Amino acid sequence: MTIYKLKFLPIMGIFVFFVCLLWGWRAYTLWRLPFDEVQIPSVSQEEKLEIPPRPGIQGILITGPVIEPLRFTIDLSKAGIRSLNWRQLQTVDPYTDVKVNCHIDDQGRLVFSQADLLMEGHTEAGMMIQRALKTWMYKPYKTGTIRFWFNLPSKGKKLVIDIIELKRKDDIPEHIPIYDGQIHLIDGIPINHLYIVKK
Amino acid sequence: MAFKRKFKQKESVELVSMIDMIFILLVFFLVTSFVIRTPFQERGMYVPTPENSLGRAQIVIQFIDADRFFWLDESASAIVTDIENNFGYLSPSRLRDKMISELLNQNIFSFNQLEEKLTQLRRQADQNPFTKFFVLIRCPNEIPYFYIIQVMARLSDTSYRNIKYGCVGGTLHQIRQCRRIYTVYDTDAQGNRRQNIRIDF
Repeated sequence: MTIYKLKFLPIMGIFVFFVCLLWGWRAYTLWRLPFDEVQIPSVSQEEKLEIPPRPGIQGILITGPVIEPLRFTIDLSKAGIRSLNWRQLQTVDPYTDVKVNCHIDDQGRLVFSQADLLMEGHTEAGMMIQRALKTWMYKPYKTGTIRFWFNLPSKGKKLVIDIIELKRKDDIPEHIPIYDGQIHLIDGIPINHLYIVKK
Repeated sequence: MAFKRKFKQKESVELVSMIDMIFILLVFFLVTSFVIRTPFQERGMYVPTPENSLGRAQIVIQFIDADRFFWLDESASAIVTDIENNFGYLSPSRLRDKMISELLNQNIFSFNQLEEKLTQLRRQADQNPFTKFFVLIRCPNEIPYFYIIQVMARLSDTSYRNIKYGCVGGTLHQIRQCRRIYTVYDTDAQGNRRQNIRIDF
């Protein structure tokens, strides 16, 4: 062996050592594996595998159109609707205590009689409220009783609107949601003065 | 007499081929070692497998034969709901038959019209880049796969790649013989309430 070739003997030795090390590591890894993972599945085993059912085999769900929810609000598209001016009401009678029990009919009209208007002596403010409320019309999605309580001297809520007794109309399919929108037309009322009683 | 010196052949190990072999062995062991190691490291990896779940789609294209197809989209829900509301007194099988016949009357198209329908869908997808569309293609075994590939090619050709599709085997006869067709009210991922149609096979 020439001197030139003898120079490679240590390198060869290192290679052989690494090969042996890798072989040992591989043998150890294989030894740790469960038996079924080491074995390649035979053809007969593969044939036993069931083809899993895929989506769409048992049924199909076709996405339909979005159901647009209805909003129960004052129908501003109707002519003759008048708003109530809150500041003016406060100026006219800062001690206004007026209760109005109204009924919303099938067409969305706000209906109430003189007996439903409890003015407690605050006639001017009551008449002002009455003039505005008489003109209000709602989208015809709900019907039933709606109550307004104008209680200006209150330190808490100065206007309470009770819509608990409003019910959705029977001719509107149940799957269509009805959300409550703007149910009053009062200009200038601060949001913290208003309380809507609903379910 | 002088002895003739014999030519003495040098004895040596062929190092070049040996190094080659060692390298090959080294590479072999390296590769096989990593093959074995992978399952250990990736045992927790999620492998998607087909589920026995409902096929959900915005559009179902059912191939009838090489010339005709049945197209079901969201407009079909109005037909189904209308029949449910007006013919609810019918027996379930007759109600199903009525729905199927009505849907077939209005939604069977020739293959030439398919291009037009797909163009409309692509346009809709391009105008709504954030909306995902899923098309379920049902095809009987007898139809050459060539037709499906044509549809897939059209569906893939969108600007925002927002049309996905899946393909399952199935015939129109299966739809005719389905157990039930009915409206399902459901809320989608965006929180919108939708009026979906469900076909149970």
